[in-house]
Amino acid sequence: MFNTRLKIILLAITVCSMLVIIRTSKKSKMEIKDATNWFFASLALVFSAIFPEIFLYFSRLVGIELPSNAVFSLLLFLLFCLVYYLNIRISQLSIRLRETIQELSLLEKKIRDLSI
Amino acid sequence: MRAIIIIPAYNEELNLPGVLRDIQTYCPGIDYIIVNDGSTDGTVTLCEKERYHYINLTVNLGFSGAVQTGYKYAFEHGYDIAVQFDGDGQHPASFIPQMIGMIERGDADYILGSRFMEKKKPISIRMAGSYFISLLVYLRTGKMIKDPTSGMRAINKTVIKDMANKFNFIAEPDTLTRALLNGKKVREVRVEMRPRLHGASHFKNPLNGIEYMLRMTVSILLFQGRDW
Repeated sequence: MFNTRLKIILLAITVCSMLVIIRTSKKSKMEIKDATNWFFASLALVFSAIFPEIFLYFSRLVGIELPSNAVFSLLLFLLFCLVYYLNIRISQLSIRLRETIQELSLLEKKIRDLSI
Repeated sequence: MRAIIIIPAYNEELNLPGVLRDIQTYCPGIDYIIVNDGSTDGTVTLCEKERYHYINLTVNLGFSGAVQTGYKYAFEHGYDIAVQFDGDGQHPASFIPQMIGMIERGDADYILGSRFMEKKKPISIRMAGSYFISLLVYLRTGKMIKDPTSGMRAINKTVIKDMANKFNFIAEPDTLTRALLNGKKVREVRVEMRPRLHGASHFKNPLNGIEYMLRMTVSILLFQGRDW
């Protein structure tokens, strides 16, 4: 089903993305916590390029007729989770930012009161 | 008991002098604090020139973030009562002493300045929204609040503490719901509000109104709870 040429192309692409992700994460000084997530994600891609049969197995397991549909729904679900996780992080950041600004402004008021 | 009036202000250069005159006339001797929410007009210059008491947020945090800063200030300085009072001149300061008096006597933990104690709500889309929110608050808490969207309120120390530290609200109605759910005594008193003098309401855009209603519905029914 998966011919050798396709396998090689897939492998080349996924390994390249993994290398780019490692390099870019380092260069952009991404937090290790986030960078490791993306490393594991790219590792999973390489793995799926080496053993595409897991998608056949997975689609048979959940009863999806076309393996490509299994791939799409799996990835869509993972992306959905990722976006949700990112939104939680943004929310937490915006709370911290708000509290920092509030604290800063309260301190500024204290300093102003002292200098009068 | 010590009381403070919290005045959130975003681009209220034109309205603030009138608001402050009103407060100084009807509430002499009561402290106040203006929270400038990163205004882009001359609000800060005005506060500096007139020597108003003010906190300056360097970045615009939005209404709830600005109000919370005021509550943090009140909590840090040990005030017993905080009155939230709009900087746009719609709230009448003449009703503040009565609201403070009710908190002092322990009549309630949370006093709401209500436009509809005697008067019927006029018929408009906005008032349909107000009825709907009343219904939501009733469904969630079993208490009927006539004017849940009113931004004029007086709260006691326990509520100040909660507002200063645990804050996750959209606006007044869900704050109110949280207070009710946690067994706080909420009472409404009649106030006469004035039309806005300068500037436009955020709800002039109907989309903002719809967004507000949808978010408020979910917040009141699902996200507010008992954890005081």
